[in-house]
Amino acid sequence: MAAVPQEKSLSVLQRRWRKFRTLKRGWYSLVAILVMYALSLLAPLYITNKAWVVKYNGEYTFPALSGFHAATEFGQRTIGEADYRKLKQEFQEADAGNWVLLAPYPYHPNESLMRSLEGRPPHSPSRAHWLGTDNRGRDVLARLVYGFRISLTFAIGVVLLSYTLGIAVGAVLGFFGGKVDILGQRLVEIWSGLPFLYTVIIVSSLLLPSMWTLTAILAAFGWMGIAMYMRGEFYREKSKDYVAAAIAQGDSSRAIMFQQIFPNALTPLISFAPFAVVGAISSLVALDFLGFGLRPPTPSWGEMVNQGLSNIFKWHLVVFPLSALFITLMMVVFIGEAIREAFDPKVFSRLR
Amino acid sequence: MAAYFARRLLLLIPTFLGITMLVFSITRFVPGGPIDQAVMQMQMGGGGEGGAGAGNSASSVNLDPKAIDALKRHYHFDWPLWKQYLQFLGPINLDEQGWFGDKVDEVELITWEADANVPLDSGASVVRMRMTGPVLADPEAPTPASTSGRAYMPEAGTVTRLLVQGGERVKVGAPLFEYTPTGSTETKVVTAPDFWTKRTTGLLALDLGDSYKYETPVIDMIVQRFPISLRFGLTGFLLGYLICIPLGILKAVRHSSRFDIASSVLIFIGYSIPGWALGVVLLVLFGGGSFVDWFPLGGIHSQNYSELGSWDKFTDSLYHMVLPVISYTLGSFAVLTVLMKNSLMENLGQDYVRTAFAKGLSERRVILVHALRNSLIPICTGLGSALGILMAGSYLIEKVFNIDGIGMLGFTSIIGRDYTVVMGVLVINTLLMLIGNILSDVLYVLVDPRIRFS
Repeated sequence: MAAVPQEKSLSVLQRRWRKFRTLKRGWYSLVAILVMYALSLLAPLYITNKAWVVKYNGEYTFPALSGFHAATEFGQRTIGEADYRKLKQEFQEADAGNWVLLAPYPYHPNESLMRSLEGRPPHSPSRAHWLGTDNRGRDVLARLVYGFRISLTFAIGVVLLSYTLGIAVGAVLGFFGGKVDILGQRLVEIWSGLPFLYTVIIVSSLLLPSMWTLTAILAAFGWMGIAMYMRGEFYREKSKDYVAAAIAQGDSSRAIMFQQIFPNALTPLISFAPFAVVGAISSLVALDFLGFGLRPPTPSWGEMVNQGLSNIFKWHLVVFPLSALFITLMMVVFIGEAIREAFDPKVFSRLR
Repeated sequence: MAAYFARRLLLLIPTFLGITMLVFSITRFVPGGPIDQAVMQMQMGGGGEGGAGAGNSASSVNLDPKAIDALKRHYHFDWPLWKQYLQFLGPINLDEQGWFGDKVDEVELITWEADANVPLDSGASVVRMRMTGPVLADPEAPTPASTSGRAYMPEAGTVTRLLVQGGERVKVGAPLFEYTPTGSTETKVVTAPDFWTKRTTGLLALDLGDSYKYETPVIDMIVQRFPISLRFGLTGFLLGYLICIPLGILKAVRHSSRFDIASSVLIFIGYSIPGWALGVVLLVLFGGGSFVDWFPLGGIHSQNYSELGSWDKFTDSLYHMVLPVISYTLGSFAVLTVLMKNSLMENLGQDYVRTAFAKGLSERRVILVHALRNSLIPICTGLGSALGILMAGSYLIEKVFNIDGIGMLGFTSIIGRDYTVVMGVLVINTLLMLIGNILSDVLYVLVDPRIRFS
């Protein structure tokens, strides 16, 4: 009697996923970064100058959720949005049964605190501002957290976009071959001959890009490696029997390219991805540092470092954002190493 | 093999042309060029950056529509793009205004940048004029050749009146402006000096044009800064090899020992922190900011450099190099060490290593002589492409440490929209990178006779 299989056999990807989960350093880094990213996405709820709850004249309002409330709504005499930190003080002093529950960290990343703080910005870390303020009196911690959110979103965007571009171009070159390939390869070569940072700076200085334009710019100058790699994969896979079978079946070129060949070329793409994220984050920080990145007042690590360099006596402007950068990149590298190890059983291909 | 490299060298030409064409078009198509800058400067009260008397309301930058047209003609912006590119490429001068080295007797004056009623020293470039095509070649002038002319004050004095308007044509010897020498009441006149056409133009004539802003040849600006960039880049690069190769060997030999694991942490750090970012941290820690003041904040020399003796000059330069070089070294540290380690480990698993051991050779000899030689192959090939990386990696580090090298030049020229310099830096970088790529293939063949390109 044949032995009954104990469990369903696992697909390659499932086995790799299991292997990945056993590599603690990478696995925990992945969990940590996902948690941090989720927390940073929720930052507008707890790092904000909008109060959680305001009780005024017997009525409750929830500014953190409901958004803008004019100062006059709560009896403040200023124009524009209510200043909830001040409101809290006023209510406490008046002691008329009104109260304010502020967010746990009641500062907005783009809010200048110059008027409420003594001395000239940048202020050093204090109990109210854990990581100090920057040269416009904006809270560094708030900017760090929002900067993390932007950096990661941006990096993922760049990687997805450059992968899409690279895969499309590489697939076409490798699959169709011939004149398309020769011509395309020359063009890709020209494109990759451009000095990356220099060209991005030139384009960025001319376009003054928004976040999405900048994503597109970085992707536009960063897809060549993937394209050349995919070209090679498609070129190799094309001559295999299963492709011949698919052609004989009458499948369309597009179906063959993306349903048959593409899954076979996917593995290395996944293991490149974390390193591509590292590259994208570093590029963004570098661009912001040079002043060619996201437009102010977007919270950005690179811009903060640039401020730190001109205020060399304010170490907190350099040390905190760079530590954030460093820890983020390190965790992504850990993830990348673990993925590589899980996907590539070759013994000596690890960083360690 | 020779045929292969000949083909590679030939392929370099279309690639190079493609790259320059691409960036050339980008810089021409988009707004913010020198003309927009000039107009903007005028709107902002003629002050502008680097102008002779910034912020002076008496400044008489002359930019009527006629002058703007003349400015366009001067930069050839009225030409179609292909013609502009050909002019950039050279060596043919497409400008009908003149031919190689002819003396001309009439020039078109484009703009004036002079401050009336401001006392000026003799020899100061009081009046900056931009001319079409022809070049001033006044033997008395401090910088004799330039696409734009300068009229120099023969003595210290005050400009009282400009006699020519922008867009007018001037004959050689025609009066340009009036001035009164310091301590005198009589009015003197400065006349237009002799002009010649520019002799050759274009990239193929090894002429990258003149900077829009500083009006000096771009090639000179690059040549002047090249040794500075090279000094920092090369030192960091060589230091990287000196550290990474022994470290990689040690890590391979003691694979998964405590030393291996400890140094891996360092490598992770090296991989995760970009070199320029480390540079900023080093400056804050050791540059006399918030902590200790061991090293200078940047630059390449101390201020009193010229007064120092030769030994002090040397140590002063060295002292300024420490932090930047560390930043450069970090850039290649992680990748290089891991490459060395993996390459050696792969070789240590090969049959020929086992054979060498079986022959009774010492471990030292097997590793350092037999295995190491083969493991150095991938490292060697990196030498070629380092040529390009050396330049590319420098924008950020030069900015951080305020080193006036090629990277800094490229960076400031982008900010100042100085397109001739932008293109010049790009050309040099691209050339270095393309040649570096071929060089690394040549090295591949030299160190590994098994490799055959076809």
